Amino acid sequence: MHPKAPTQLKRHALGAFALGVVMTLGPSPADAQSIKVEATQFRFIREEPRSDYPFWINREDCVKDDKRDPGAGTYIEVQPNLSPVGNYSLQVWVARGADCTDQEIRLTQGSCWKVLDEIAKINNTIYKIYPQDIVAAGDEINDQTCDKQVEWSTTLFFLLLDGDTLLASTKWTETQVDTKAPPPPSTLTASGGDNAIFLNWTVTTEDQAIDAQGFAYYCSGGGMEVTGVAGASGEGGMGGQTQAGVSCVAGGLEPGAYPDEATRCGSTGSPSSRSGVVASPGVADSRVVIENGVTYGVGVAATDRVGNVGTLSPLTCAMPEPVIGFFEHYKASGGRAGGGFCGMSLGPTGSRSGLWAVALGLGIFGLRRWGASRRDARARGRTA
Amino acid sequence: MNAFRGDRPSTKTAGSRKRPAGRAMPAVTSALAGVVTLLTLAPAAYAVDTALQDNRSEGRAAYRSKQHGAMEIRFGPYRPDIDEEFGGTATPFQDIYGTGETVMFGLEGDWQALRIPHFGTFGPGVQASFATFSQYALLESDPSQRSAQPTNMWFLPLSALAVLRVDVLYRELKVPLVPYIKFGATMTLWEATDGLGVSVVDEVAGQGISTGLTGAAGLMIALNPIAPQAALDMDNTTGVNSAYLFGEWMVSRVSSFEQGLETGDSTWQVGVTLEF
Repeated sequence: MHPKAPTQLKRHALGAFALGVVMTLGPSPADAQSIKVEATQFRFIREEPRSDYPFWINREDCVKDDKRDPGAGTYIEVQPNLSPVGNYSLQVWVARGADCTDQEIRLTQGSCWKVLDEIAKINNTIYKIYPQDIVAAGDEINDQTCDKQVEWSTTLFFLLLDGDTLLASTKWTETQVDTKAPPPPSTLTASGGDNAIFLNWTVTTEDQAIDAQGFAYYCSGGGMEVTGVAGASGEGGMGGQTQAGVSCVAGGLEPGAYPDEATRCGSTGSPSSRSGVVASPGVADSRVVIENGVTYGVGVAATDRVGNVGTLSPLTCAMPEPVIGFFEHYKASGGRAGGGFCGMSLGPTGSRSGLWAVALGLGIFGLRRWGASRRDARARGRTA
Repeated sequence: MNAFRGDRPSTKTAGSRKRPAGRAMPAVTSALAGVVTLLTLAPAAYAVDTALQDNRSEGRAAYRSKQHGAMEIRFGPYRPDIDEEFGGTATPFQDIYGTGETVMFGLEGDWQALRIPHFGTFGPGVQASFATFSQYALLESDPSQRSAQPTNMWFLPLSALAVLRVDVLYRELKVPLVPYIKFGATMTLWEATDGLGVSVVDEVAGQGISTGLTGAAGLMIALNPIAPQAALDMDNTTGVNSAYLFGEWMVSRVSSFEQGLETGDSTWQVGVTLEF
């Protein structure tokens, strides 16, 4: 035997062992071709998180697309489970009913559109998908992209590709596109109160959307009544508001257009509401201070459960002014009452003791009756 | 109407000890306490099994359940005497809500704890009622005009009553009339709102509790004689012994003894009584 033979044998054995370890612990071909997206790995990032339909894309998500409007803050974060080996790519395709895993459908029929194409990296890598890419449906993105009113059921296909060869795929069906808001009220009246504006509106039956959620109010100071403005016909009610046949114009509010959220002055979460109130202080989601003596232009837009805000109704003008309610009149007359339920006045001490005596007497009376009935029951038991 | 206003000058005798205004009420409530206390000492042996009495007097074996209490559903006009506080110098309630009345609805439950032989029943009861007033506030610039801003009030009177029903006419003479009287203490919760929430003036909230006294006298008309068999069936199936229509005159003085909002009224009420 060669003197070095044992050493070479050892080396070969160690090499074989090392190869075995590498083959055991390394990724198998099956592992390399898997991809998964769980709910916890799909996150909608928004400036203001939404609890209802968080995975759906509404018009605001589209408008605030972080890619086209950096800093607007809306995009989708995906963190898929994948174990690629080699120079693979991760692509995300969107379709409305089509099967994008089929290469022919994906590449030739135009029913799938690509929203992500990146080199597949190791696990825990975050990929970003942007709402406008999904809403655009493969068309060129422009200023009108988010204004098209659509309600789509979409499927996102996560594909792991080696060139044109599909290695693995998974589907995400929780994201739908709904940029269609309910139509605005057809008529609107507004009347001034004390630092408040009281609204009433009507909605035609055919305008009532299935997913209607409520109404949002928009106000702008400096409202002005004008005549002969087409398409801006608010209707009048009681004092301090637009009269019939007279329209209202106000800076920052345009009937039929999507409202500027900076002018929001209140909302109601009931789709059956036909009245509301705008006031300062006291309305949580108001960004406009309502003051007596200022004429405000007011419009109302419908909202849906996905968070879409529709276009503005015709505007109407109203001027808040001081009023005299009962309690104001009562106190101004020198009334002595008020102060809350905790400020209960039981009257003079003597009368209070009388009331307590009545209560005590009733209590003793009840106890005696209860005791007598128990004694009777025991007596009946003994007799039996 | 002023029957319970013991502090009125007309109620004072020449020789009575002079008391400050609002001090006569303790005497009334203390008297009521005395009546109730006396009742606690009344011998329970007088209690009579109503079912047994009915069976003996009517001479039939049909089952009549025991009678323990009564329940009433009632309604009637209501308008609180708020403006009385101002002695005619101001009428804020009338200025806002006019001279009309609203409808007050109420429920009452009585425990007929004591049956007085050949007379009637006596026991405690509780009553809860509710009424609202709604109007639009006046424009400060022109008080003859109404604004669009609501100015509403609600009242929730809660009463603890002693109730005496004299049913001897009905039970023993078969005349289907049961006169009754009630007397007790009332606590009324009230609130004024302005379409945005509770009205507030100079950090004083437009809500509070007024206490006082209530009395009522009325007459119940028994419905059982109209359909005796149906009444018996109702007793057998539901335990309701008798049904009545009633009408009463009610007087209440509820102003925390002239320290709070006067929510009392003198008015009539009608309703249905079920004894069970």
